[in-house]
Amino acid sequence: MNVEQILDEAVRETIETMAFMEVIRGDRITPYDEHLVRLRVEILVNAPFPGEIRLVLPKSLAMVFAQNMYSLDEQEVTEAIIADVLGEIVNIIAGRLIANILPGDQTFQLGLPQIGPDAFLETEAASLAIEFDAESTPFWVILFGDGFQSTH
Amino acid sequence: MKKIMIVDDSSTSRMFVKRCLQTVLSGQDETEYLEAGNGKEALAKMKATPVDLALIDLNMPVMDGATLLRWMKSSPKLTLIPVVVITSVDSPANRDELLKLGASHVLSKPVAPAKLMPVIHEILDIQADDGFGF
Repeated sequence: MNVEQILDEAVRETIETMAFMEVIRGDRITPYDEHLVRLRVEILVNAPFPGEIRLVLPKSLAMVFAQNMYSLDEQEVTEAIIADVLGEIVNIIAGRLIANILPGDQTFQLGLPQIGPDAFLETEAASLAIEFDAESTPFWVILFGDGFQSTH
Repeated sequence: MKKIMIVDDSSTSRMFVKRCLQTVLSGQDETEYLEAGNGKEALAKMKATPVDLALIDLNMPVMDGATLLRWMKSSPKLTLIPVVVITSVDSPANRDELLKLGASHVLSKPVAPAKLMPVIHEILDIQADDGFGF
């Protein structure tokens, strides 16, 4: 499998298992909507190659993830819960992705998730952006780093 | 009463693991769950309250899971506690290192009752045979 296929599997399995939502891979990138409030959570790959895995999603979708995972009503979900939920989601996606693109005899290290607002879906030349859809709401995973390009 | 320590900096992950354990251990005697957000906090709690099993994450601030495992295995008070590592950083090489450090099992996230059950049952059976009180 190539890195896109591995990422697809990692994202689907993580969100379906944790947030109980069906995820499908988009075949394009939805045009940027400046009115949409989005969150961004990222995690660094520290070894064996430098890289970053970034999850960008509408805040409304993050809220639904948190509600589903904690079985809470919307008004019970706090910013802290959302941050923790997203951090854990990106942590698991990153782990599953890296574990499946590296040879079995290679160890790897991840950083700690960092969350913040996303003002623009930034991409760089050496990045791979993939859109997914969770029950009609798009979200994105962007991979930065040559280590992902070499297995693309 | 069994006491199980869950160590993860993510409250979401701790909640998930605890839910899985509650499912796996339903029908058993009552279980008390202790939680810690990093290895240092976990060490302090386990030294104060003996536990029968620890489930730990690897990637944590203050003290990570591998360091916690080293501390536990070098402590006469804690060395016999079975440790299950539940981590997103799971590869055959990472797994080998953790087993050499003394982990009894390594599971990858996201954990689910079906994955956890055989591990917990194996640990409990081992302890029951040795008269550890389960």
